[in-house]
Order: sequence, then C-alpha cells, then structure tokens
Amino acid sequence: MIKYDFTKKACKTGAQPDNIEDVQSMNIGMSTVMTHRAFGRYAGEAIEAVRNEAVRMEALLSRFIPASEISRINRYAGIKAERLSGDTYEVLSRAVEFSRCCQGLFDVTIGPLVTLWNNSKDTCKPPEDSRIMEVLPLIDYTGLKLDPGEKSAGLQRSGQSIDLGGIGKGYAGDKFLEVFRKYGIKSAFTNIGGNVAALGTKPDGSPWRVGIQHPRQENSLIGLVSIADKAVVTSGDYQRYFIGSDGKRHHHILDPSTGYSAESGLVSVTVVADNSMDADALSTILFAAGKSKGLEILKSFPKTEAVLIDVNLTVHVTRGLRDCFQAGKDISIDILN
Amino acid sequence: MQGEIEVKIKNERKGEVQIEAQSLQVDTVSGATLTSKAYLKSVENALMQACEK
Repeated sequence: MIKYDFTKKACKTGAQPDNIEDVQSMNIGMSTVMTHRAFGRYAGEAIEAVRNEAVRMEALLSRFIPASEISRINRYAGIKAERLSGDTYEVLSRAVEFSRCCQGLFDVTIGPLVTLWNNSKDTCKPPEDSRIMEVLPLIDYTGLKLDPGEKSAGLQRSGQSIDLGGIGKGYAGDKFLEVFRKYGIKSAFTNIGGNVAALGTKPDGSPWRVGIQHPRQENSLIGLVSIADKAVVTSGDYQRYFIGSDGKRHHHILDPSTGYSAESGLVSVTVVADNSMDADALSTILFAAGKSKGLEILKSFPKTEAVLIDVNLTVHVTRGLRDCFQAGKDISIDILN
Repeated sequence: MQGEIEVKIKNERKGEVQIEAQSLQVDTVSGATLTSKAYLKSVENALMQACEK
C-alpha cells in the first residue's frame, strides 16, 4: 500500500530567517490531488488546519457523501427544504447568481446530467439522446429556492439535483486562504487539482509564477502568469473526458442548454481573479460561452482577466495580463483589446 | 516510505527539467481539474519508469 500523502518541511532554507518555516504538503482530497505551500512561523500548523478545512468542506459540499448538506438537499428534492451552514448557503447563493447572470451556460442544478454522463464514461458511449432529453427539463436553477432568513435551500421538483462541480473547489480555495491568514501567514498558495489561489507574494517579494498546463501536451506548459493575491483557475477539455466511437471528444464541461459537452471553439480557459470562487465559475462559463461571448461576459467582472486557448492552440490573452503573461517556446499569442 | 517520496520528488524534478527547457520556471501549475484516479495513474507511471532505470 502506497501512501500518497506527504508534508515536507524545509526550515532555514536559502534566505529564510531562522523562525520562518517553508512547508509543503500534498495529499488526495476532494476527488483530486491538493498541494499547499506556506511560509511563516506557523506554516506547519497552518497547513494542518487547511487540510482539516478541506475535509470539512468536502463533508458539507460533496454530493457523493450521503450525509453532506448538498446530498440532503438533493435527497429531499420535491419534498422539503433543508437548513444549511453559512458556508453551504454562501456557495449556493453565489452559484445561483452565476446561473442567473449566465443563463444557459452555467446551472447549479446540473446534477442529473452529470450523473448521466458519469455513468456513460465506463462504456465510452455517450448517453442516449432520449435520456438526455428526459433529464434536460430538470436542469433549471429557478427550481432551487433559497431562504435567507431561515438559511435554507430546497429543490422544487423531484429528480432535480445540485452539483457544485464548477464552483465548489473555487470556494474551498478562498476558505483555505482565510485559514492561512488566521495563522498569520502572508505568503502561501493552495492548488486544488489545478485550481490555484495565492496569498501575497513569495517571501522575497516576487510574484508567484503559475504555469498554465498545455491542453494538448502532457507535462508541458503553454505559458505562465506572474501574480500576487490572485486566483488562477483553468477549465479545459483535456481531463475527465473520453473519445467516443464516433471519434468525438466527450469532456466533462457540459452545456446545460444542449445536454452535451460544450463545443465553443475553446479547449482551455484560465481566469485570473481576486477570489477563486469567481475564477472557478467564470472559467467554466467562458469555456462554454466561447471566445467572443465569453469576453463580453468578462466585461461585467472588473479586475478579472483570462487566457483563452482555441482549437488551433492560439493563445488569446486579455489586456490586463499583457505584462504578467509569459508564453512558452513557439507558442503564438494574441493580446486582446 | 522514504523511497516513495523520493520517486515523487524525482518526478517533480523531471517536470522541472522539461519546464526549464522552455525557460519557464514555475511555483505551481494551473490546469483542468485532475481526477485523483488520473493522478494515481501518473504516479504509477513514474514508479514504472523509475523501476526500469
């Protein structure tokens, strides 16, 4: 049995003063691999607390854990509303706002469709069209009723279900940075399976250098962004997919209006924003929207930038990232106005 | 336990070498959400490569 879990302490390395710890940790959680790194006097304790926070988040938000608050809402769909913790209520409220503002591109009640596609992954055959048409009317966020006074949520129709796939890990990233701050950490990052959220700069004051995975070459980068106090979240079609017998790539970013994988001409979208929940939701939304519609949507989110990679692997970078994006070798970029 | 950690670090080093070849030094990588299954497969591949050497 191999344990995929380690914490590495490198005290007093390089230019670190004696009381500054540099702690890195890597473990499996939230159905993915998480890495955290923190610098500070209590870096070890902070990372331990972040790992506990991850367990707490998953226990609240995962729809695969039967006792989670999301599972309870799903189980009682069409029957009753459930009282929620502040955390679950907050992430659901924001998810509903995104569903409202980006109608047809993002829907927090996409659960039934995700389940249908997940079941088809093993056979590498897309679900039957008739099955997709059957569940499509259930994908309707207006059926999720939130009561701010009671802090409760309920799904109106039986068969409806919530899936926080496009926003939950983002919310967790923001919570992790809150934990770091509580421990007096000024320099840290967390990476939840590719969703990065950074606190401050590196200890020497230089920005964090966050690579962007090449969508078609494993272990290769298309470029990097240099950032401080920002989240960098990517949505792409190159993980969680299968190639069907028709040769088509069926990936996990589903278009709630068609019921099939989003085909918008983009293969990867990275969003750089002040918080990772917004970056997470927006990367999913922009991926489904495509370049021109996506850039239109982005305009309503100030201080939010993006790196869009199209099917020809041309990298489109929004203007605000011009000075902090560095392209990999032989990668052509287009700076957007 | 020591040995396993070493493989992971070796694997990380391997990543660094490739990144250096493109002259991009990074602290971490943002990408489409990896599944834990896909991650374990990559660790398995790294172990296999290490064993072949």
